[in-house]
Amino acid sequence: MLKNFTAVLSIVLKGIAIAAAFLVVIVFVNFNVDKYGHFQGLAFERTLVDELLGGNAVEYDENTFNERQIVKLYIQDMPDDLNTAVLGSSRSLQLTKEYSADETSFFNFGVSGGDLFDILGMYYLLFEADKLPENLILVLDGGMLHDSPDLAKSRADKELYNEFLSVELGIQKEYEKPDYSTLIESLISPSVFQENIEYYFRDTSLETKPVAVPFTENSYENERSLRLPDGSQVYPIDFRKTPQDDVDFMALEMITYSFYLVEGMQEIDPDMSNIFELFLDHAEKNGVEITFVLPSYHPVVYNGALDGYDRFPAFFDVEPYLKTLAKEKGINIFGSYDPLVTGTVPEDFYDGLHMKRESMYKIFSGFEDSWMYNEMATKDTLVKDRNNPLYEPVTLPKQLDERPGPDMDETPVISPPDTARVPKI
Amino acid sequence: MVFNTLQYLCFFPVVLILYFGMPKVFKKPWLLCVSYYFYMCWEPAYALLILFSTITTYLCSYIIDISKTPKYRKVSLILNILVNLSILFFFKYFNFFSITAHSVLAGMGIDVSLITIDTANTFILPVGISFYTFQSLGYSIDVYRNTIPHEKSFINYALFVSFFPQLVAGPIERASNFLPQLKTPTYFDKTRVSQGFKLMLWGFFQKVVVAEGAERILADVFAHPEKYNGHELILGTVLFAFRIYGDFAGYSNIAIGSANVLGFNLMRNFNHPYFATSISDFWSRWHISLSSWFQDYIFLPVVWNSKNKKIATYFAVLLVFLVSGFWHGAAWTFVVWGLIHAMFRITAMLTKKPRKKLYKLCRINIKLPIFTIFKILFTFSLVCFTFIFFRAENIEEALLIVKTIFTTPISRYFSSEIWLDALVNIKFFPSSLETLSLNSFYVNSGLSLTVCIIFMLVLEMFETKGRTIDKVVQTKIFPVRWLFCIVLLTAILLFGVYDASSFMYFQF
Repeated sequence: MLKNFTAVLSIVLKGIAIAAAFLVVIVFVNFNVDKYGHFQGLAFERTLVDELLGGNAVEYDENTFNERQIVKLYIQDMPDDLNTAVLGSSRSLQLTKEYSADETSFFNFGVSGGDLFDILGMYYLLFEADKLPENLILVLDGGMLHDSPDLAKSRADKELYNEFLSVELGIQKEYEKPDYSTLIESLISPSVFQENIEYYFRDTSLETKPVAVPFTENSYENERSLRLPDGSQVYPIDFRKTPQDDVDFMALEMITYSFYLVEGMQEIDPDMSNIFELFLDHAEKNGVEITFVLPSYHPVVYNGALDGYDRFPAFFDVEPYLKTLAKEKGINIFGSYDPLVTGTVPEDFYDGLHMKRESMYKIFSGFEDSWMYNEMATKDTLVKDRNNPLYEPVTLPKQLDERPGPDMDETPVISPPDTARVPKI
Repeated sequence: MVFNTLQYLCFFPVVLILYFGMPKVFKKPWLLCVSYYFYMCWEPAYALLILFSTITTYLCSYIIDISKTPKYRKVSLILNILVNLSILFFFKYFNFFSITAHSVLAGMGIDVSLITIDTANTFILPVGISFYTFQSLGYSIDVYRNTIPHEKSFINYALFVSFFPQLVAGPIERASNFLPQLKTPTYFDKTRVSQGFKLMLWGFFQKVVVAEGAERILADVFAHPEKYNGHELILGTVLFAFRIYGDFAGYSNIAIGSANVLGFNLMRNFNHPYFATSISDFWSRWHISLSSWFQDYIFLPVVWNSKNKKIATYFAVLLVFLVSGFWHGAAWTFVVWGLIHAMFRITAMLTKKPRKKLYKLCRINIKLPIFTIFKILFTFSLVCFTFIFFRAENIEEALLIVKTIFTTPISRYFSSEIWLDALVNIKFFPSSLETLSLNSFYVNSGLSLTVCIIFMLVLEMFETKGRTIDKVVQTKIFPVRWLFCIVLLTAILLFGVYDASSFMYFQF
């Protein structure tokens, strides 16, 4: 009986050994080829991140990849000692390493359509990976604390930020931990193996791919979008050269129809502001120095917002709230939503929301005046009394003020910000 | 539990190790327990149904055995047949006959309410009910005929009915073959175990690669036949022939292989049927356990008990195929499928002499290989034709397919371009022929499937003198044996379909 038992056991073990050998092949292929990006990220995003980490700029077509996936992969692979990180929406994407005290260790994690929950999620990824930066620049939009219907379209990772809220901030939300059984299945599944083999040998000649380009002055001549190694984005030259009339019209359209995340804002949502404050405390507790940055809106948008005050009265509460909060917590704050305050003019914008790369310095200049003004600012003075002398745009430092304005014909390309003239965060 | 699942791949080694590792006295109870567990994985409550059928047949056969008067023996046999067939009828045929009767009565202007049972939720058709019912009936008839003695051990009998490798889709084992094996001790035989595993591997290849690979292509052809032209429907039908063969032969081989590993020999169920040279030959190679069951328990008794043997033979053929149609499913498509086979068979019998005369007259040498090839192809075409009814959702769809195929001008069937287009349209090729690349061999299941089917048919040609593929391979040198396993495993890994359905014959 024992002889039978050992004999059959040896045969079964032999079978298991063969199965194990095949399993190793399956796991190897599934892990490394990884068509669905469970382990390595999706191919496009993975290539893009690898190039960015390698110090290259990457050219790509808009909307061809998942920006949030880029953030995840970058955080996963980046070095531990990041000095400065930027979190925010696409309005933050023109912030470059030149604004950081340590230009060698800076990354802009801004994502299109980013909202408060994106900021929380990205912060949590950094926290979880134990890669929190020393300085965190939060680029805050006017609708950030609005429980807007637009949030239904939010692209933020709900499971991720809900986990952060529940685990770290003590605000209980429903979330699901990543399903490891799905990951295991993706690792050992023969069906996935077949798809990976097929994917590996696929014809890639017609696929859109991120193209690494050496980062030079000429990089700004790009015809496609460009992501620089510091995470900032350079829009295609055609977009950057949009005639001013068209830019202004875009701004007018935007404020006329619907102001994204701001529309219908009757109050600063108490839950969201509570979450935001808890998040700031969390960052502070973890030794992160926070900086608020408030990029201005196109004058047409801001004036339109003033004219349509009743549509979103609480929009004008946000800036005072943030500035008060910054003062309370000793947080540096730069910029203002009001273009008059920062001295931004229509020519400083690509469209209604996005300030030009070369104009970003304006939100950092004269910040002391801006600070002083905000101490005195009330909602009434902001909205109703445009003649209040305090409303005068801040005086830019002379050398910056003299800087020639953008002339599309003469200066078809942009250049990086003048680092010597930009205050360091 | 289905063979082509991870569950079975874990279940079987555990059963095996413990089976060979335990004292002899526990072996049969152990196999019985795991067999019931195997069945209960599908629907626990229906294990009671098998148990009931088993107890009924055992008791009735016991009465047949001990009764001295023929009357009691007969009553007992009839009782057993009635009980078993009633269960089968209730679950499988009640709705069919109820709906048919209702339609007929409605056609005659008689208004009666339709009574049906909820087979979708409450009374789901028990898996393999036709298989174990026929196996039980065969046993009681054999006892009645004194072909075999009544099995005294209930455990042995229960194991004969529920032995897990063949429980749900056959082969429909004969008591005379299986019960004696339960009385002789099974020893561990390395060669037999090795052969068994190879046969299982071969079965997995047939099921996972051939059957499911073909299903992936043909599913839409039969789901929406109105979308396809004659060429495409022919291709779909031919693929179905390999789909059903791969599925059922694959199951049978896994079952036989599993039994071999455990030390039991089950009867062979397929003998390369697509190499048959006539319909009669086909039925001697296809689902042999069912064909021989029909022969022993329906065909021969009908012929024996009649005075006019010739007429009785035709009648018996008709009856066998009618019952065979019903056995496969409670639907008119299966009945028509059976009747077409009967028609082919009877036509062949009726034209046997005239055909011989014709060959002689035309000086056709029927021993020439080309003639054999022609007969094989002709038989295969006839079988494929019947499969249209077997696979179609209903008679209307089957007739639509037949009509589309036969109303296409013959000249169009000689156009290679249309055939190639048809291959693209049924997604045999992944894209247009212009963009076909080497990668398509992998991406598209059509090309790789064709290679796998050819591989299967070529390998089966080595099955000579009744030796199955495992035995043929076992006689080869060590590297060949390993190559066989590695090639099959690689093919299963690369071309297998894993999100596949269950075995087709489970529904029967």
